[in-house]
Amino acid sequence: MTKDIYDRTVAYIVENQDKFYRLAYSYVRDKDSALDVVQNSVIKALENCYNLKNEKAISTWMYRIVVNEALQYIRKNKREISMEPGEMPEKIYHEEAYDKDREIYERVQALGEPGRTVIFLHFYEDMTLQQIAQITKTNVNTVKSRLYAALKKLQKGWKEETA
Amino acid sequence: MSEKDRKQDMIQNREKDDFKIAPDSMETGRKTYDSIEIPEELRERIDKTITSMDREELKKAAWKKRKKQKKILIFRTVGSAAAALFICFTVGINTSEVFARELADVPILGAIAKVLTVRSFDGKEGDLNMHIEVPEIQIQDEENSGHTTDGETMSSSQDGKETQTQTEGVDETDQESGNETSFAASSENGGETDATESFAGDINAEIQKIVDEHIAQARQNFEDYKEAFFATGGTEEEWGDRDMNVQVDYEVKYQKGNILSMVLTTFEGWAYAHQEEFYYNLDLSENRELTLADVLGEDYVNICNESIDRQIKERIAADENNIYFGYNTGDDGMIEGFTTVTADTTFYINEKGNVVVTFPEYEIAPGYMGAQEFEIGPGMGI
Repeated sequence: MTKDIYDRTVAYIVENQDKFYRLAYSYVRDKDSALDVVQNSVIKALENCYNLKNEKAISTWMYRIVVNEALQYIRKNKREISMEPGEMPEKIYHEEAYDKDREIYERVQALGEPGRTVIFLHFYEDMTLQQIAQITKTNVNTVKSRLYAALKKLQKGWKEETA
Repeated sequence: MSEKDRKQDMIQNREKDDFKIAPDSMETGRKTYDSIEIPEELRERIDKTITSMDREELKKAAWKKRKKQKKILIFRTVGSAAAALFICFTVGINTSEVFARELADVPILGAIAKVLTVRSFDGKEGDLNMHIEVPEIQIQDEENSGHTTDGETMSSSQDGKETQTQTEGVDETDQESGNETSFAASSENGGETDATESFAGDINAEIQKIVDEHIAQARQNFEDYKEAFFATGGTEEEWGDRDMNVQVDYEVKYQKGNILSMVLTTFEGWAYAHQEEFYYNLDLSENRELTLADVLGEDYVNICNESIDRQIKERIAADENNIYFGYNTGDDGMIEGFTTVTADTTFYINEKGNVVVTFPEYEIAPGYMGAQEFEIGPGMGI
């Protein structure tokens, strides 16, 4: 049987579910919430896949759904978790390099929108600025300026604390 | 994007030191991100969500939405009405007696073959709604090539008018009636006719095979779907009166002298709809299928490409809702659209004798645009 867009959407979701989970988790910071976000995203995707015009855009389309679902989840549940150092798993403190990475991850999370989404997608999900523009429905220049603003903010915070 | 590319991208877009995140590393938080633990429940949760979705309903909803946008792929269910357009050349013998009689005296304008419906079935078979019209090319013997009427007259006439011998042995509604109508008269003709008949026979056999496979495949697809539906917890009640439309139809696009151009269409419609076209462009004097090079000359690639490119642009200019991959402003270029015709590009010859190049749905435009056709120009020797 010829596979149609539904089958390909299902295949894409199954193949990339871990990525969607990590991305969702980075917004909501809670296992059950992240699972909810992914599940809602899957439903949204399958409900709308027959209306997807450009099949090759399935990746950016799916990421857009996950990002939107995550942000919506945060708004609805006000579950944005503040960065309490005590919440971090202890083991990461044993390794200094890892610690630094973790610290940056936390700071990125704390940036809020729109900077954090750009960093998540660009640095963690390997999306090009062009792709991010499609995911966030803006233009490339906006994505660029958001990225620089976010990086500057991170760097400033880092300098202040290490100084 | 690799780590290297990412870094390069960064370097290109920033003053290096200003935007370094951490003092002496390219740490980005990615290691932490990548080490986010995937809970065991994820897979199960996703699998459950997927199986809980009603694909059929989703497809229907999308279909309805598209219908509203008047962009739906229109499928022609007309059998004999299309044949009537080609009344001089095509005879739908499974139609009414009156129709057959009316056609009986119409000359065939020097055509050496005619296309008849040899197998026709309209009705329900289990869950399948069938509409099947299968064509067969029949070679006229020389004596009678000027008329639709063949040797054996009066065979089924009611008022003394000539009618067609071919009606004999062709059951009017029985789908199993794909019998081969033989021509005692024509088989006694010279070798040339034999060769043509054998060529036409090959084409007929191929058509028959496509039709048989299509129906078998459709039946199988629907059975699979049904099985999956109940296997994943669907109930008889939910299943309701779901059925599937299976259609086969044909249309003679052009017929004059030794040239015959026709299209066979197969359609399957249920949770998703799928249509396929098979084009036959035959030269019955040379007993072969015509190629684009035959009808447009050696330079056919350039001729077609120039024309198609222009027509796509015209269509987009006329209506911005016309989308062609790679053509519209704002196209992300992620999907390759029309680039060039090849020897395998399908085509037919229209009633004006012009070559029409065709692309199946999804090939150069989004599905909602349907199959795409481009009239190129007059064919040579047609």
